Amino acid sequence: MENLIEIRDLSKTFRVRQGGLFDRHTVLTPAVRDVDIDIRRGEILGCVGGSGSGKSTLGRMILRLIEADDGTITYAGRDLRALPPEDLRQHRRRAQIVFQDPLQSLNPRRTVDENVARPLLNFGIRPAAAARRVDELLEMVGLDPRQSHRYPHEFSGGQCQRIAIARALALEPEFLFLDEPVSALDVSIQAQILNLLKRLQVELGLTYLFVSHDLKIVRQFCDRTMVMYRGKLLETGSSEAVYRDPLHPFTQDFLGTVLHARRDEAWQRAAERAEDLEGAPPDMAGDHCPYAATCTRRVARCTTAEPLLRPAAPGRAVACFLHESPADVPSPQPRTLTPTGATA
Amino acid sequence: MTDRSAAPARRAPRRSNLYFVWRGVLGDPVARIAAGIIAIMVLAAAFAPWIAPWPPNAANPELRLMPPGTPGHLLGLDNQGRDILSRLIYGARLTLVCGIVPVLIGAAISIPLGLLGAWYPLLGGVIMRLMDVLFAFPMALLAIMLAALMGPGVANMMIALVVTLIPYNTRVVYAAACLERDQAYVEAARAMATPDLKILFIEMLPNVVAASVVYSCTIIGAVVITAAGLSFLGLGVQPPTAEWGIMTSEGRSYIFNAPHIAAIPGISITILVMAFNLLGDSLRDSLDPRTRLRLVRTAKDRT
Repeated sequence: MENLIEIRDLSKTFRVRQGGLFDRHTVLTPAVRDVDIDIRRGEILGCVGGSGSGKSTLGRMILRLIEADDGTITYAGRDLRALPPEDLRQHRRRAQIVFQDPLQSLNPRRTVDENVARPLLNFGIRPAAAARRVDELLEMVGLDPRQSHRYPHEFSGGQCQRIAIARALALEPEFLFLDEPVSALDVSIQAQILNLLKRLQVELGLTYLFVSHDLKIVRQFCDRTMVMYRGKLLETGSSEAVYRDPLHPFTQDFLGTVLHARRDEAWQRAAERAEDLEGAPPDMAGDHCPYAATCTRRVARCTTAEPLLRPAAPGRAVACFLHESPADVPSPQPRTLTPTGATA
Repeated sequence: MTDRSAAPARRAPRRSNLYFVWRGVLGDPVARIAAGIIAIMVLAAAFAPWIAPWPPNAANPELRLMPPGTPGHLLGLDNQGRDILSRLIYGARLTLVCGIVPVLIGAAISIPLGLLGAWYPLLGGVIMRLMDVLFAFPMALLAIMLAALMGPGVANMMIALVVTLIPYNTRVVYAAACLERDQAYVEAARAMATPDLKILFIEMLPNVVAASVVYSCTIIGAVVITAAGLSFLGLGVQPPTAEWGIMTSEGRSYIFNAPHIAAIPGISITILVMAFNLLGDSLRDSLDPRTRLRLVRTAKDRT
């Protein structure tokens, strides 16, 4: 499968001004650091990681809602970061976003049809044609077009998310960035929305970048999974392989906390390690693995150099010295690598 | 309950904002009274020559300082023997114009300023620092200074009031717009290539205008009083023109032997200010789609 999006060395650092009148200083918060990832046409790429791991920032950079600092994003062969304004406008037709909070992502003072018609009107479609298209879109996401004169707050969360999906699809995009689209919904509604997204993906041939902190959903829903931690991409691979056999110690801890409901002491410690995302940053200067401070399998190199993302098995890559080459592995691992079925 | 259930196959009619403002105001008894008071004042001002029993400046010196209830003069007479009711009716014209017009013009200038300032941080810094400079002066003092610079006259007074009002309303709109700016629907608007000005004036404006409407209704009272103050200083409306503020200040010399001269226009100003404040509250509710359906429903249940 060809790559729709190729991301190389993508970085973004937020500058936050702090302090009062006399003691002003700028705090640099790296959100995404040197991420390399390809998104293939027609796949669902899941992106997991705790809060603050840069998942949303990554997606917003693909949509150019946030400007990257460094690196390249190639979208269908074109350098996204160098698009002139008119081309950026056209890019908006091809890549769209669905937000976490469905109610907030719709303008509360505009009716549903006004909300959904806005992208159409932006691209010069006449109001009458836009109105017909709005009805079509609402039917496509399973809503009654006769209700479209109502305001978003009159709909439930799941219905609002359907409206938001209809709006995102209005311009017939090929790529959707789904920013935790079901996190704010009830479990029963989650399944409905996921089924809808899956059906639309197949029918319309869409490509998804699906961000979530709900690992179970990513496992079921996504073809491939990428794992992020503190802005670094730690591991990629087919969802099946990553979940069955996580390579990076962080992934192991992270998956262990959520997927294995063991209530023993080891589980507790792993949970604490994986949850400690915004806790004290590792007290290390210079290059080091982002997970080195809490990793239980840390080796000497982890605190002095930063591991790069290296292929570990067919279709998989991991940024960890333990998997860099057999010679670097300090102790034999109890687990075995299972490369079968690792290609997406 | 609604006509939608009667004909489910048909689209329910689109309700305009005006419909909801109308229903909302009618549905709320307090707002109904407030709107009624304002309507009476506006009508009285519009049809003053037909309603007022006497011309506003016709003096009858024999009856000067007579209290309310004097035959032929329902609300009494002032220090020159002019009929207070007639002057009150004629005075409503300038009082309403001086109170409402500067607020409307001020809002028309402040809303774009606040929105643009919230959207473009650099421009916003410049605008808000300019507003801070204007804020440094007390409202009345700034109005006096500007009116004195431009010379007396109703038009100059209104310009002075507009300039005085802009910083307050701009700050209200700016604060509301800064909150809206970070909402997801604004980011969604950017993602669907909505031009900046459309984001500001189509998407964000309906969400910030409520704050400005409520604030404008509240400030009308202060403007009426400031206008009266300017007129009293000889910078605004010139005597013997009837205007409530001038009438109040003229009556202050007789506050002990004929208190009604100052009290009647003063109470009228108070009622006007309160009516606008209450109407502002109701307008905020009826302009918000999240609360106005409830207003309409309760109105329907009652009838």
